[in-house]
Amino acid sequence: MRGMRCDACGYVFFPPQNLGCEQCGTTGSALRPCQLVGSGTLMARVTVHLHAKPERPAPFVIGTVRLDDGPVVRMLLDAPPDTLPPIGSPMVAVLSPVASEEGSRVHDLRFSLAQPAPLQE
Amino acid sequence: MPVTLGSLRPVYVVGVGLHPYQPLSETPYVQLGLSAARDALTDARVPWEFVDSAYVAKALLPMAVGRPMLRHLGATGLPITHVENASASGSAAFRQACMEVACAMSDISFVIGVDKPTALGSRAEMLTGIPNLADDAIVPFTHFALLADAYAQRTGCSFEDIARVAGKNLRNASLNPFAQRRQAKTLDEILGGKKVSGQFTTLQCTPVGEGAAAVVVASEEGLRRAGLGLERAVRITASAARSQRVYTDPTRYDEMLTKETVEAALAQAGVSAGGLDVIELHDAFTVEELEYLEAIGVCGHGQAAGLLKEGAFDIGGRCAVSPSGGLIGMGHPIGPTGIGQIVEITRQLRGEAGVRQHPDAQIGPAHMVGLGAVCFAHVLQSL
Repeated sequence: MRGMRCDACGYVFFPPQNLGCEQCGTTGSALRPCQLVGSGTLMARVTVHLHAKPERPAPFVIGTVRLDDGPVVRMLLDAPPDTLPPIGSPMVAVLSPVASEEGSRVHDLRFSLAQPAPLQE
Repeated sequence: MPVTLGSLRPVYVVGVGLHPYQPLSETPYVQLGLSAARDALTDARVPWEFVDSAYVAKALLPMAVGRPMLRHLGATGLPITHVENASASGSAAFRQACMEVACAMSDISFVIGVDKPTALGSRAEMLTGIPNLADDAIVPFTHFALLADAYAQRTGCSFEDIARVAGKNLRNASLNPFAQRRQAKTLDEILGGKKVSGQFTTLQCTPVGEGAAAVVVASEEGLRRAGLGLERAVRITASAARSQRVYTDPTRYDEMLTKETVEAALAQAGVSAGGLDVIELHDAFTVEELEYLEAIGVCGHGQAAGLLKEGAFDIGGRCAVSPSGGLIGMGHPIGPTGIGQIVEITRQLRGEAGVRQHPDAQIGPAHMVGLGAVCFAHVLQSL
């Protein structure tokens, strides 16, 4: 995942943009792209039951994840709608294939549990 | 040092009016607005010709709705200013009118909110040119559903405890003839409704409808000019407004912003959160009420759900929270909402709230959050 760092105040943010630092207002070369590790901790998660847009058929799962690099992001989770991962779980970013258009394969950046739950004997 | 409202000449709410909040209908907005406007002017006993300026709040209707509506009160040529500030449009318009009267540019100012959910467009956040992850999948109810999930984890309360906010606010709304939802519901009915997002069911989310709310604000000079005294006046002792900063947990911005804004308003008014009699809060989704009560210090962290269950926030309890029914019960026509809060607080402080009257109400703040995010808080006090 690509984020950005403000050299003037140290703020690390996502999504990347060079319009100006949200914390101190600095613009220009002080805003530098940086790599964010695609791992973090799950802070909240919900199953969305109703959604107006047909291209996102409900139910789907949305989570809030604090990245190990600092920023807090919200995104789709690769999780079944009826068994959500516990809050506090370690999460990793994955590229998840979604309904592909003709002749092309589309991937979505999502978060998934870092370690799958151990299988019950 | 910037001046505060309380340090300028006193400003009073002297008249209030509403058109019922309701689902979208064929009624033209002009009719909704005029009904509230005439009620407020009659309540104030102030003739329209005495009004020096008007502020019109709306968020969903097209531009410049004020003059085609207000001309029917008599086209006096008064200055009209339109205000859009998302859910807080009405609160922002009210603040402008208060400031204008406080600094003596006007003696009597008129504030009206009117809206219809006809032009629901995309949110400005989607037009910034900065794509975020899955932002097409995260609408406001999912934002607050995620906050509810984190709140339950943080405080150990149950989703049933959170849903109780809707129970209280729908009960209050059932006593309010201007409310969009006028049926009290049991906790089972609330929890058993259609699922929206996370643990939220439809009755835990505000209905966005149409309606209108109006207030007349005046200085003592303005009242004197209209041949009136202060008998039914309620003083606005504080006005505070802030916008979102960068917080340690950016997803809890609504709560952090509320804390900063309401604390500033209470400090201006010189009152403590523990001493509030009645409060109208932004409760578009149940969890907000609990978070905001804790954020502004009405109770300690993690205590709101327990106090709610004991009835501390009922009419007649320790502090009546959203006696109008709040956004969940009264409804949320957007432009009028913040002004409707002022109407309810005024009625409470005058002792004119009828079956919804909280005993001996003397201090009442109104609080609104708007997308984007902005926050407004006003403190009203009886004389």
